[in-house]
Amino acid sequence: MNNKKTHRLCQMKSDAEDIKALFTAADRQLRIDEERREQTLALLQQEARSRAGRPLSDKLLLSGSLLRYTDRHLPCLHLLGCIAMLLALLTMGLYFPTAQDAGVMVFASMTLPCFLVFFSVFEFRQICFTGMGELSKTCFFHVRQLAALSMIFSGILNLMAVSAAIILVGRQWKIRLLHLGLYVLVPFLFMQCVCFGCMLLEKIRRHTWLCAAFLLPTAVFSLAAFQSPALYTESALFFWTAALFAGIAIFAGEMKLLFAKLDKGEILCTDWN
Amino acid sequence: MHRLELTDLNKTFKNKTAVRDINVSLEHGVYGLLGENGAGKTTLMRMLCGILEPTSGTILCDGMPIRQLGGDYRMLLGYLPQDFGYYKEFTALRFLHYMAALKALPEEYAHSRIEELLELVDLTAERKNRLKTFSGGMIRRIGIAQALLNDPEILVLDEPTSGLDPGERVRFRNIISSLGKNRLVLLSTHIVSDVEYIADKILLMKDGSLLHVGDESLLLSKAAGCVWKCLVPEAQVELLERQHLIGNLRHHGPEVELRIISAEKPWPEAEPAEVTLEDAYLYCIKYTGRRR
Repeated sequence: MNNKKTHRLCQMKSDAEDIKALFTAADRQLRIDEERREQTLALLQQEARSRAGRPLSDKLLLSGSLLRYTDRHLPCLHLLGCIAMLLALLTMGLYFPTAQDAGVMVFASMTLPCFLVFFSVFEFRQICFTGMGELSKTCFFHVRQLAALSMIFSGILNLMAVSAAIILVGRQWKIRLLHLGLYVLVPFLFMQCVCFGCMLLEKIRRHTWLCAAFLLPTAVFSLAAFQSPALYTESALFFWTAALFAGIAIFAGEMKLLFAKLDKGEILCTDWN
Repeated sequence: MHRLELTDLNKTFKNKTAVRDINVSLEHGVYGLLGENGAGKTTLMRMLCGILEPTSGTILCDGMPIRQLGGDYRMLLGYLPQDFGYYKEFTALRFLHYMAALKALPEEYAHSRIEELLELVDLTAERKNRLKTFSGGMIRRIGIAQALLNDPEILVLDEPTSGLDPGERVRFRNIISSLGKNRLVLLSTHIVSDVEYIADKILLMKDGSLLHVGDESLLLSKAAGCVWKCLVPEAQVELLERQHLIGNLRHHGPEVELRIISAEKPWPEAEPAEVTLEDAYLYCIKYTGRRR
């Protein structure tokens, strides 16, 4: 049985080789029209020249051009917001200067950075959900790239502002920076996750200001934490760290989903008028 | 010149199928996409531009899937959406520069191209005005300008003449007609005369499907012998409206001149009329549906 199968396979292989040889022989006999070949070559060269005439410049120059003409109102407001947040902490420091006031300052540094999330959300919304998203999806610099650029820029700005707040408060009120970092980043990340999660919902995408409603639970949580000394012990650090990593994982998952929806395109075409 | 092939293209949103089983090849020339509201024209155009992912089926450009081509395909594309989004605080000039940057055009080239296009759409005087001060027609013209920035080889225009006055519409038609010689231009419109004057081929769409793909004469032949004109007393108009599809109605004193789409003679004194594209459109979209 196996011998028959092997024989059949060998026969098929031999047939295939015969057919290949026939094609090769036929190709050699094909007469190529030289005039036609010259015409095709001229056409290809003309095509290459027309493409070279409008060269795709260095990506840096193009990116520079993009940054030059992009809307800078929101990023500037964002920067001002970061400065305002730091000034607010400094001002509060004048009214609560003693070591006993450390709890108040921790509460303030947990709540104030959460406002910065709105700037990130509005910047993202402006790129994707104002009708420009649909148009920019047909351009070389894709809406996905623009959204990612916006997230990176606002993320850097937020992290710098939050880091400055942590160092400012930690140094003045003698709070361990690592601990303070956890206390500040967890509510900040919670706010980030909630607001960007809302971007996945059509009704809230159209009325982004509704995200402001989530400031209240964040403030309540911060207040509760402020009034619970047990949350600031060494043993509680494990839970803060776990909450931080959980927040990062949720945020990463949300971003992945949001960008997948951008790729699919339907959320760009929602009636935004 | 490029060739677009749409094979078994479908798009479903939740419970609604917006585009169903589209099979068509598009090459150079001007294609007019006609259809009533909700026919699926905008969805089809969005899929062609890579904005929406099809539920099933493929769109190939010169044999390659457009999603795979990515930026290379988008470099060939110029798109004017039906609802054109823009930053209201931008001036016309800045907006076009921004779009040029998005389309990865070198700045030097962009400068000269923008000046050229502003002149073409007659907005040179308003270039430093903010877009929020522009009228609907002016916004549309800016939209047309941004679609032409990268000298696209595939131009997709969704209701490009909406909001334009008759003079602007004629000017626009001439521009598109000249562009269509060496490009693929697909334009959707409700205005039959736009398509009548400039389209080389007509695509008729209804309920997500293509009813007709071909030139105007082929479409007109479908309604041959089904268009009638007659003068009727005003009292009879309501009855005829209930029984037949009325293409046009015009009062002449006590009588009314009707243009009726019907396979049978609708009125004893009715005379056959020459079929226009609008008649053929009504015949295919409304009359055949009505008969079913």
